[in-house]
Amino acid sequence: MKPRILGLAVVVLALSLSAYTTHVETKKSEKSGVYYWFQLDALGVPQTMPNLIYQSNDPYWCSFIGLGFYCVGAYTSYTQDEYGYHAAGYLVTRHKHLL
Amino acid sequence: MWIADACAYSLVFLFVYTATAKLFQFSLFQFQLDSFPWLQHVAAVLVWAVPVLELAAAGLLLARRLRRTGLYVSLTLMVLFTSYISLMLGSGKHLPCSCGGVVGWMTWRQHLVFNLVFTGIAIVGLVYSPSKIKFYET
Repeated sequence: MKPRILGLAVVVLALSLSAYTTHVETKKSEKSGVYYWFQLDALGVPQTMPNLIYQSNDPYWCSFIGLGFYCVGAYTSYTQDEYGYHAAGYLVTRHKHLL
Repeated sequence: MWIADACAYSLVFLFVYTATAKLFQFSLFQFQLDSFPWLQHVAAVLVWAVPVLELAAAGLLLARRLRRTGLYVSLTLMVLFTSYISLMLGSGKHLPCSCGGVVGWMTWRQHLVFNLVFTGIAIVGLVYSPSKIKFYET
């Protein structure tokens, strides 16, 4: 009986933490409205950037209703190494080139 | 026996946490898998297969009779994830991690170490897990 309760407790704890961290991250993004912006290639893959852009609005003036290829994406976090800055965390929005 | 229990519960926690975090952010996980090199062709399958396999591994680990099978499945999953990260790091490609929850905040290097630790936990669990469980003492 004891292992079953322990197993159930582990599952409940993992589920609660998962829901909590997802909720916190989403709320934090909505509340702050400030993101890390990364250029995207045509397929929407974020590119390594030499400089970090942290602001609320799209620095490249791309459009969220654009019809062209992907242009820029807003992320909640970033990582850095010798190559530059890389997108990390959650993708908040992706904008496209107008045409 | 407690070492095997601790290893199994650690892996259950990891798999339930990451699988549900992926499912809570399903569209984001789908997009991230689509943007992964070498995986675009199977992304549509993996987007469901990864969380389902993680939850299945957790289920096997929780069932004492199937714990060794669960540990083998966990070890296979951890080796596959770790190999992919190693390939990614070796290729010089840099993409956001499509991992669930707080694991997604790690860099690829941190994630590699994290995965190696859990691969080690699966191995230790297998070493200390009895191959046959006695349910009734005679």
